[in-house]
Amino acid sequence: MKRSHRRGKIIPYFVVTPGLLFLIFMALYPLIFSLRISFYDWNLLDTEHAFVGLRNFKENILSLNFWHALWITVLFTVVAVSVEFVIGLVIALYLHRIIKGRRIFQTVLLLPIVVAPAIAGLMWRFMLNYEYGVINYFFTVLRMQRYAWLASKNLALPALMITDIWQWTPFMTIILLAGLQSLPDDPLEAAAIDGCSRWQTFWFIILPMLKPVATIAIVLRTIDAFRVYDIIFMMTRGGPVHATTSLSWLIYETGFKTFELHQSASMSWLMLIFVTVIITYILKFTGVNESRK
Amino acid sequence: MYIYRKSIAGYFVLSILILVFIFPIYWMISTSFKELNQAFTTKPTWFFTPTKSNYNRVLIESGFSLKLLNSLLIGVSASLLTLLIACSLSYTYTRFKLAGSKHVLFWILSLRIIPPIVAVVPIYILFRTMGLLDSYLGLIMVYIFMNLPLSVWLLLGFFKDLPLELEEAALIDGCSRFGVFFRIVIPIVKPGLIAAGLLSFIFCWNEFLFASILSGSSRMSTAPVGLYEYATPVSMLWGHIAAAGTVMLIPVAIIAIVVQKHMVRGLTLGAVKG
Repeated sequence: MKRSHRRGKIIPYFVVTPGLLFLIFMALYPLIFSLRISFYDWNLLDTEHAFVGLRNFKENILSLNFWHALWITVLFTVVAVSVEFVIGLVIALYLHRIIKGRRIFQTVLLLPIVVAPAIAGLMWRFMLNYEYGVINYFFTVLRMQRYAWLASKNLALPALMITDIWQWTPFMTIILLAGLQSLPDDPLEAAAIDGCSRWQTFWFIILPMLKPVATIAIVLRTIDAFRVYDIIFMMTRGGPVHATTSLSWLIYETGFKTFELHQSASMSWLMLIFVTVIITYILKFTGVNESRK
Repeated sequence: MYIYRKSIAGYFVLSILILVFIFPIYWMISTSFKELNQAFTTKPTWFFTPTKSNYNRVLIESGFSLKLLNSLLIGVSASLLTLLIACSLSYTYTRFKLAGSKHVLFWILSLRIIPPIVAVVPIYILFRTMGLLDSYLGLIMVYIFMNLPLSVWLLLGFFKDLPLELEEAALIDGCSRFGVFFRIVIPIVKPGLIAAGLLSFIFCWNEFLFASILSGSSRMSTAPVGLYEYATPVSMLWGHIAAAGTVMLIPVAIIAIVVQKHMVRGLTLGAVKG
């Protein structure tokens, strides 16, 4: 295997170079460009761009809009991902205990995952319609009132969460189920012999063994929920009155509606820093990143 | 074996939950076969004579077929190129001792964290100067970039599982390095390639943000963007939207059902051998 002549050592570097160069270019160019225009007054419609130092960052840090959007994004992410994890785990535990028909359930659960978020957003908007929506119909059947979900300041964000939860709970289930099925039987048998209750078995044996897989699922979902954009575009467009303006939506609006690219670029950087900190914290908290290497 | 009881209750709870998850998809499909007056009622219409009119309008009379074709071309080329680059990276990094490999691989994975919105403005300006707006190539480049971290890591797992002896034997028998790769390695890691390729394709097929900003013109746009054309400021053409959504769901649903096992491993970045 180890052919020590020179050619054999250099060729592998040639093979990886195009891929690495592509990645470096596509990753660093946008980040460096954003960082650069963050220090300028860079309106898309102007031709001259004045250097303004840290003014854009200062304005964002002082601006209520930015913090509000960050709050909306964090709230959306925390609620959606936690609910998805809990329901996903419950379904996975149920699926794990049955044997016949598991494949059929699993197949059905894969469907929401592959629906385009854009379609999911539009269909939920249709179902949540005040007058014609089927959800409100179910509410009236249950003798409850109709709600104007997407027009209400209090219900618009929960409506987005419901859409996200519908689409991604199956993702949690499928990953956790695969994790459950790869667990060794011995500790479970030992627990059964020692007379552990089912709750004890779950809490002290299954859950700790599931931690690496659960962490991957939660990290992937957190990364994606934090960037929520498609369903906002389709359902609420940031409204009513900024009630669903996430960071992604605020950056989009600032960049492509008011053309203040310097503002959207500096917000982008702040967003990148926030999401990196959050993910690093999750990985540190669960101690999984070391074992993955 | 750890034995669970009460499985009838289990089936019952599961069936209810599954119904909840399948309902929105059922509702979309059934709406796509309804006339406008049947779709828009305060009391939902459960039984009706299906009509093809929404599909006629979407697939034949409007330009949605063209957008589906755009999506297909972009998705297939981006996925194939992703596989090619991902293989070149992950196979080389597993088989040869390259400088700083651990750091490079971790860096590639960490790219998954960058929110797409962060890159949208710079890429838009760059592509405008390069003339890549409203082109296949522009979107393909973006999609390769967005799919690479996942694909590289997924394939890394497969290449690591590969026994070294197999390749050594082939080398001793006089096979060239590239011969070994194409004749021995590729056939064995085929499940990994299928998983990575199809997950990349599904991602491209469903992507909306870059598609809407980099190719806004109606001739070059992809299907998710075309969907929004039925959401006019005056009214939402729900029948058309449902029909277009159903058509878009068909290929990815088939993929999900046919390669279920590979998808499970792909979704976890190869961490769980589903």
